[in-house]
Amino acid sequence: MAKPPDPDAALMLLAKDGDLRAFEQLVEKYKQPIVSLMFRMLHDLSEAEDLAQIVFVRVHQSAFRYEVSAKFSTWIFTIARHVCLNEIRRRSRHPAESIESSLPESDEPATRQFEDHKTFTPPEAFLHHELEAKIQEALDELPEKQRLAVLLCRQDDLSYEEIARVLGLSLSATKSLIHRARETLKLRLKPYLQTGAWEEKRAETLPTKRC
Amino acid sequence: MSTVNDDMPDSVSQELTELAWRRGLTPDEQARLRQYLAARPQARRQWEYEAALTRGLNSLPPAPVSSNFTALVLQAVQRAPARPVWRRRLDPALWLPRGWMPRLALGATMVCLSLLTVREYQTIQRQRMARDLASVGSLATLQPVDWLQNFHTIENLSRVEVADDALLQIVQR
Repeated sequence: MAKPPDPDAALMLLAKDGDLRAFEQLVEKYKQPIVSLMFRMLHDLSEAEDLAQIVFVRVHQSAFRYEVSAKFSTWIFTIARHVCLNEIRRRSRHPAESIESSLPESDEPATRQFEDHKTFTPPEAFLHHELEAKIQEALDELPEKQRLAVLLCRQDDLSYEEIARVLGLSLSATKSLIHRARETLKLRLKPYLQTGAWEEKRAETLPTKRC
Repeated sequence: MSTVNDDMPDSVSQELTELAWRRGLTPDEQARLRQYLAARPQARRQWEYEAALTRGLNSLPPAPVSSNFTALVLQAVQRAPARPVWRRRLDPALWLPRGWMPRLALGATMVCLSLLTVREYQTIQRQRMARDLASVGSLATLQPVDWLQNFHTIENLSRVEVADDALLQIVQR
């Protein structure tokens, strides 16, 4: 049997055969991007973790049908997309219910332990949080698919073709979706884009004008 | 006079834009961008917005993940009921071909087979009906009922118990 080129796919094949350690490695690797995606989509950290947990449980339950036909990241982000959009639809139908009710029952309440990552000085932190809040606000106002497309675009390991597969769209439709989303974001964030709030690394991405 | 389109076609600009959505441009790509912006200064502002937006999006910090997240997931996985084997085997994902083209082909084949089956059934039904009609039609060729009015008399003739020897002799001659 030819060795799969994607190391995550190889781990998933081991997990498919019941190797819990391989599955644990995958959880370790993907927990951050999946929780971040959920958090940016729903803007609720607690629910983002719950949904990420559902994603990993689904990955484990669906392991028997896993075939190496694409990168593992495409597969897991597709599951994450389904879980996330289902949750958004569920919220719109039953806004008062919590996601906790759909999680597997536990004897003891799950307590989460967070580390404190804040390293900003007060003025820097204030500016940073304000800008972050503005971007999040603008993201929240986007239609779900556009928001998801823009957030997937931030994933380094996903190409446009893979983002298209995750979204279930053609490549051109995906690019068009991202373009529309970015146009809306530019419009909403124009005052901040004009002030140069994000100019500190300008030289890295935009060449200076040659006279 | 050189036009903008001569210097850089829009497809190249589009390509650079799509690259810049995802990451910082390489020196080679930056040189191409410089060439593009030199020919099209009015696009510079738009590029600045694009770059600032990309930086803004990339500056969003990753969401904090609880340190026991993996442990919670593993607990949930072990608690979650395993799917019975028979349900796994019935899972369409296992026997459906991958990709929409093969699935479409399979669907089309199934529809064609269904149509052929229905058509064959209809043909058989028609043939049976035709046979039934033909047998009803053959009733029309039966002899008239009047012919049967002396049926019982004729039938009784054969029940003569004593042989008519005289008649037999006449017949034998």
